[in-house]
Amino acid sequence: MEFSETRQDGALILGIRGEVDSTTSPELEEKLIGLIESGERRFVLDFEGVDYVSSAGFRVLLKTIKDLKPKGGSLHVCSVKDYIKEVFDVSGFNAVIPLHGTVDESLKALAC
Amino acid sequence: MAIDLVSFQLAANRQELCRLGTIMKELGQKYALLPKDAFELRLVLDELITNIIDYGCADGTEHFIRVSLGFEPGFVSVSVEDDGCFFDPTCAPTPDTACSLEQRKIGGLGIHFMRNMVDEIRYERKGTINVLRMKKALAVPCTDKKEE
Repeated sequence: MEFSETRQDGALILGIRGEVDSTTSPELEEKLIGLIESGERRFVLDFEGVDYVSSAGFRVLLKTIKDLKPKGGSLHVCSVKDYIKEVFDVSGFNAVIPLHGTVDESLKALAC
Repeated sequence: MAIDLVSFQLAANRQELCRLGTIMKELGQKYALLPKDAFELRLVLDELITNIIDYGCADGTEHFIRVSLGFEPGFVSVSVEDDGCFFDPTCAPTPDTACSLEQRKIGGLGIHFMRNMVDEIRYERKGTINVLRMKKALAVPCTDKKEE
């Protein structure tokens, strides 16, 4: 799994490349915990380079968003492939994690 | 295309999940599955086998997990057998996916995903073996690329 970090409009855009499964999700979790500990509060996770997500990945997203909420933070996800978006629907995560088509749309939503 | 059967065996440990991912990606290419079908089929097996390893085969002894896939033009038949303790995923509780963020529990999603991604699912305990048979309709019929 590879990460890229870009800062824009007060948000940290974390680009993820690879698969988010039970083997790799601890890497994502560690990355997000580190960023939150270093003071990041507003996240856009760019899933353009993600072609597989299992429940292990959803656990990390849920844990992160639960961790961020009392700190006044937020997490948005963008550029999710259609077939992965369906899993967001099945999990009900579409109600707790805002999904957007692009990074720009995520930044606009975060600014509101 | 006639029924094409593919079988493989995994040891009941988490390192094998990587091998499962590689096998499923190769099969997706071999049978020209749509990305959606290939993803869902892999997810079904990934979630099921993760649960078999973590709950059915967690007694510290060696166990096997045998996977058979029958590729037919409109659907894939899946059979998964393991010699772990009794584990019937069809009876696992359904997580509450409509509750608030505060009430959402971390976990329990894998089997929920699996059950949602297949069209038929049937569990049977045969002696000391768990047998789970599933059927998944494909959005676009598969073809064996080698036959073309």
